[in-house]
Amino acid sequence: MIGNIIRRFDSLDSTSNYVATELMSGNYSEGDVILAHFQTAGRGQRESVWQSEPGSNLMMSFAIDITFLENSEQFLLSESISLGIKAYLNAEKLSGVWIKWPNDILVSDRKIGGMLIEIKRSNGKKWAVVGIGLNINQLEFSPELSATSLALEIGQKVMTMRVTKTVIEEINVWMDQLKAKNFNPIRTAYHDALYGYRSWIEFRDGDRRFTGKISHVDDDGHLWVRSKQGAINQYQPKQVEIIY
Amino acid sequence: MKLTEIQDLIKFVSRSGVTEVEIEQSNFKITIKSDPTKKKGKAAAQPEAYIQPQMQMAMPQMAMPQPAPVPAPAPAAPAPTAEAPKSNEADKNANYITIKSPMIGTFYRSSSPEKDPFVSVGDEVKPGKVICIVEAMKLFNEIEAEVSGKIVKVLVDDASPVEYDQPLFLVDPS
Repeated sequence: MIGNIIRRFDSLDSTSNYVATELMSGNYSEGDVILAHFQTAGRGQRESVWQSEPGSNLMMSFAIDITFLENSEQFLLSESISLGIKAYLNAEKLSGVWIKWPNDILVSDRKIGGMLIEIKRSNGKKWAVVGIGLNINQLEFSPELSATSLALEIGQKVMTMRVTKTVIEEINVWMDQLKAKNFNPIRTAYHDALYGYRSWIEFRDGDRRFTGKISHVDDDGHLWVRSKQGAINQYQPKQVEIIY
Repeated sequence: MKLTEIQDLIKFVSRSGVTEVEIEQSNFKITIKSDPTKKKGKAAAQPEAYIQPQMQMAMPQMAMPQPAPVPAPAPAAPAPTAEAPKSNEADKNANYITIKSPMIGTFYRSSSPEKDPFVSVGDEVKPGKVICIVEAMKLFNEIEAEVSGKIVKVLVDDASPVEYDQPLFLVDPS
C-alpha cells in the first residue's frame, strides 16, 4: 500500500531524491508519499527536465520494496504505475487517455504526465523509487512540448490534494495485482491501453519515418512494431520515437 | 515393517537367487536388489536395500536421499577462490575481478549527464557502493559493487548498450 502517509513540502530539490535519501538513512517506511509543490531540480528521464509551473502540478515520489520481482519482471512495475495513472484519468471522465510506450501518459494526443523509476539494491533488498509527474493546473505550455493538463482537459482547476489521493488509490489497485504476481492481467491491460496498439500511428526510426502499429511489448518491455508494409522490428526506448 | 522382518527378507532374497524384490504397502515401500554378477561368491551376495517412505499420494515414489557417494577428490587447481574471475578475461587478468551487468540495458557512469561518474579508475570500491546505472526500459537500476578493491578498468563507454553478463569493470581485489 502506498499513501498511508503523505508528507507535503512547499519546495524540494526533487521528491525522488528526498525519498532516496530517507530510504538510505532508514527514515522511510514503505509507501510513504512525498509531495512537493515545487521542485527546484525536478527531473524527467535523464536529460529531460520536467517543466512545471510552481504549485500547479502534482509531483510525488514513493518507494516500494520490489525484491519479489526478478530483474526480468521489473517492467511490470512501470506498467502497473502507468495503468494506475490512466485509471485515474479515466475516472475523471477524460477520453483519449493512452499510455505512450514505455511509460508516458497521453490525453488527446498530448502529454499529461510521466514517471521516473529508479531501482536501488540495499542489504539484499530491491527498492523502486517511483517519481510521478502529472500536469494538474498549469494552463499554458510551450507548443513544442505538446503537453496538456487536467485543468485544460476538464475545463476547471482542481485540488491537487484530491487528485493525489485518487491517483494513489488507483495505483494501489494495480500494485495489489503486482504484489500478488497477477502478471497476466497487468500485461493485458497495459497492451489495451497502449497508444498505437489498435490504430496506425507514426514512428521515427533514425531518419526514417513510417506508419505502423504496435505488435506487442514483450516481457522485457521491448517494443515490437509492425509497419504498414508488414516488416516487424524490435526496439528499445531510444531506438524509436513514437510521434503523437 | 519391523527391522527384524527386513533382515529376514534380505536373507531370503540373497539365498533365493532372485536379483530384485519390491514390496509395497500403504505407507511403505522396500526394494531389495542383489548384484547378479557377484552371485557366485557367497559373501559377495549382499543385497542392498532401499527403503522409500511414501511421501504423498500424488508422489508415491519419492526416493530417499541417496547415500552420499564417495566424495570426489577436491579439484587440484592451485588455490581457486570464490572471487576468481570466471569469464574469458580470466586468462589475461587472472588477479582481477570482473563486475558484470546483471541485465540488458544502457550503461551509465553517472546519475545524470552533468554529474561526476560514480567511480573512476583508481577508486576504491566495496560492497554496497553504487558503481553505475543500467537503464532498461526507462527503469534506472543502480548497480552496486559486490566486491572490495580498486577499479582498474572501465570496460564500457558511458551511454552504451550492454548485454546480460557483459563485463563492465575490472577490479583489483588486492
